[in-house]
Amino acid sequence: MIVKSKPFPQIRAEERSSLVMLDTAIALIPPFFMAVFYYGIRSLALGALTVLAALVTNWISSLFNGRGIEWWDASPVVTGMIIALMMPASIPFYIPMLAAVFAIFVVKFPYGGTGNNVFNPAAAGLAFVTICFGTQLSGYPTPLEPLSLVVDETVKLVQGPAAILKMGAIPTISTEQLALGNFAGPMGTTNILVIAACLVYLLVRKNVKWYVPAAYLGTVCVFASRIHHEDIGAMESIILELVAGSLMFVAVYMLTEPVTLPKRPMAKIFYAVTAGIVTMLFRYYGAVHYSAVFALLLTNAFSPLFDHLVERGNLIELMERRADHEEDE
Amino acid sequence: MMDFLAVFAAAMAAENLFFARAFDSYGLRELTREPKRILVFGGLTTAVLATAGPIAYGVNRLIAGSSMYYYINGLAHLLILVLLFAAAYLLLQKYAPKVFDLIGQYLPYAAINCGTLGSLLLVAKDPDINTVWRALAYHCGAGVGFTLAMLLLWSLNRRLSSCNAGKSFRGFPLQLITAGLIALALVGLTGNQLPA
Amino acid sequence: MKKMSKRNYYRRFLSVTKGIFLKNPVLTMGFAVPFVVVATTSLQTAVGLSIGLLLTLVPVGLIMPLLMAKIPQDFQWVDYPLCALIAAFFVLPTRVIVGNISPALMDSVGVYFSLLCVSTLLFAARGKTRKEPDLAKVLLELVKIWIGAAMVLLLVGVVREIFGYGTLWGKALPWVKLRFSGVMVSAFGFILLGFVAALGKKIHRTILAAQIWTARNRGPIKEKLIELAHKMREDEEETPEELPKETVEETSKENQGKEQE
Repeated sequence: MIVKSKPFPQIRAEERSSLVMLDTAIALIPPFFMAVFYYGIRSLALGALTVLAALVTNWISSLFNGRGIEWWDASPVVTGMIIALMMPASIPFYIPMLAAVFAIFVVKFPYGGTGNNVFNPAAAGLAFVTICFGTQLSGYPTPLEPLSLVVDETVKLVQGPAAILKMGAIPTISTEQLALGNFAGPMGTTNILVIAACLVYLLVRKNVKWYVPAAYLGTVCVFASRIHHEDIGAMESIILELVAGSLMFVAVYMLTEPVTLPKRPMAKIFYAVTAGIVTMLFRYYGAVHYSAVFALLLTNAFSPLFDHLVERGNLIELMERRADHEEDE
Repeated sequence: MMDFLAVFAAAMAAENLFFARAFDSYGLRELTREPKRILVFGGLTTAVLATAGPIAYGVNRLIAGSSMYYYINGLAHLLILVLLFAAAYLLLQKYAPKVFDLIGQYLPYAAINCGTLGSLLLVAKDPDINTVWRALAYHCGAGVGFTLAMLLLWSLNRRLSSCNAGKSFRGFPLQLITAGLIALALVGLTGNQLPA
Repeated sequence: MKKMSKRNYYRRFLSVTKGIFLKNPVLTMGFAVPFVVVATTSLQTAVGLSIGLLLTLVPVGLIMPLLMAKIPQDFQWVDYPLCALIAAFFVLPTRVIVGNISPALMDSVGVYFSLLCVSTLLFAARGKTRKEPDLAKVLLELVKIWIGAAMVLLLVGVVREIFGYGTLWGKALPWVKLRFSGVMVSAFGFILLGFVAALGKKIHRTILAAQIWTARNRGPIKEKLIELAHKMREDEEETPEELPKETVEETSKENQGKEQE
């Protein structure tokens, strides 16, 4: 009888070790470089303040958890960086800080801190802030026009390509702009090539399994190739959908978070495909512009279900094989 | 058909009875212990809604013009549910005792609760739902959405109990926060506070 | 007369406030959640819904025991719909009373006001008071349940109004600079209620802990504390029905036994 010993999903492994966190934080630095290049030093200030807010909230809430202040816990740094990179560069400072506080205090602290969260904290923080300050989050500054630390009304804000696609129009972005990320959008999500390079880094460091973002992006491509505007072809539609909004960023950094991802490989693929389907549903029928983020939040809720189903499937297979073996004997 | 499916899907996901409107919180504590209970209760709620929906639609059309509508609206819809419950209870007890043994204990709560009455009242209030077909679609979607919501929360129960949560958060508080975060995700579909 | 020891004081406090701190209907039992989560978006709506709850709870709780005594055994299943119908009759005048508090109140509460007649709180009250013959005791139980629910409603209403609109009872608060409209969504209601439930649990656990620490017999305190801690841990995962009543009675029995020695 062949018995494959796999750990059960309920047994919590020490996944969020500091090395994994450090790798993810390193992989988030290149988008910050690009943000500073396009929008000036304000991007760095946003990032620093968001990370600080996340860290302080984590320290205060770890006091309540009765385990003392966990000074060395670096996961709020990653949460803060993700939240900052998803914001427009012209956003007032208090909004990403509020998102970070919500993310840590509501999504991490009640569940027991790092390694225990059921939902992606950055996704939940962004979702809350979108509901509260939706209009302020939908206007993006034009890249290559450096912003001062205090943003006033003279800064011109434009809609990103995701909003234009949702309205049924076709965004006009040249190939050169696409490749360099030189179009309006959240601070860190427009540079597709940089994000792809960071994905390669994470794959090489074995922090991310290749099939998770592949399944997600594959599902999105299938949808984009079938449902698109009449004036553009399938390939163009795929490129536009991948580039518009925060899809690639979510696929690389937020979808692959080991704590919320299911444990079994097959379950991970189901999870990624479901996330892709829900993202496209939100893009077509949803009312907010962060489709991928809300879709990820919803799919996080299904993560234990996928594990449970795959585990049952494995058990049934195991029992059938055992029954066959006994028959043979 | 597409109209039916559209209203069904909207009632199931965007205006989910549990997540968007917080009806039927009885489910949170009691039902999410076993899937069998959830399926029975959810099935009963959907059946009750599907039966009461067209009747309520008709009654609503009858009383809509009267001057006392604002006051007797709630009572009229409740009366429909009560009569339906009484009829179902008596008929099942008499003609299908085995089925009655299985679902009899859930029938009162499933027939007369915030979810069923609330769904009937919302359809009565909604100007978009102006045909019997749409009302039926809405009610079926609402019932199915509620069942799926409870199943989702049940599947998360095991995950919640394996969290290293603080003692004050274990159990009901954590279930509430989880329900809240799923509801937050579903706000992405409607974008706004739903009209009460 | 013997002065009441501190431990007995805490025990009496818990049993007197049963329904408020001990088995709060909203926070531990999960009743009346729809109203707290969605409908309570300001102090005015909280007060309106509290009044509505009171004016449906008390009549139903008082009338039902009297009626059910008259109904034969075979028709006992009628109690559930009867409860709802009686409450629905009382909702009619309540609507008029609450509508006078503020014109916009009924609009913002919407459908939820009619749902007062089927709220699970009603059925919980019915369950508690069904076999109770003494009407004064019934009234006291109902009022305690109502106070517990109203406390939560008011807290949630105040928090949501201050953070959402920056007003209190419709009057603007100048020191509130930031307004989060996301606070009005049902999702945030669930989250806020979850935190309030955790706070309630924490308060309850603190009172229990204080009770244990002031145990009069300090002899083998370590073993007793460990035993009680084990019981608390087991009881936490059970339904609140089984919670401190046994703990309290057992400690009192132990102490009585030790006093006799």
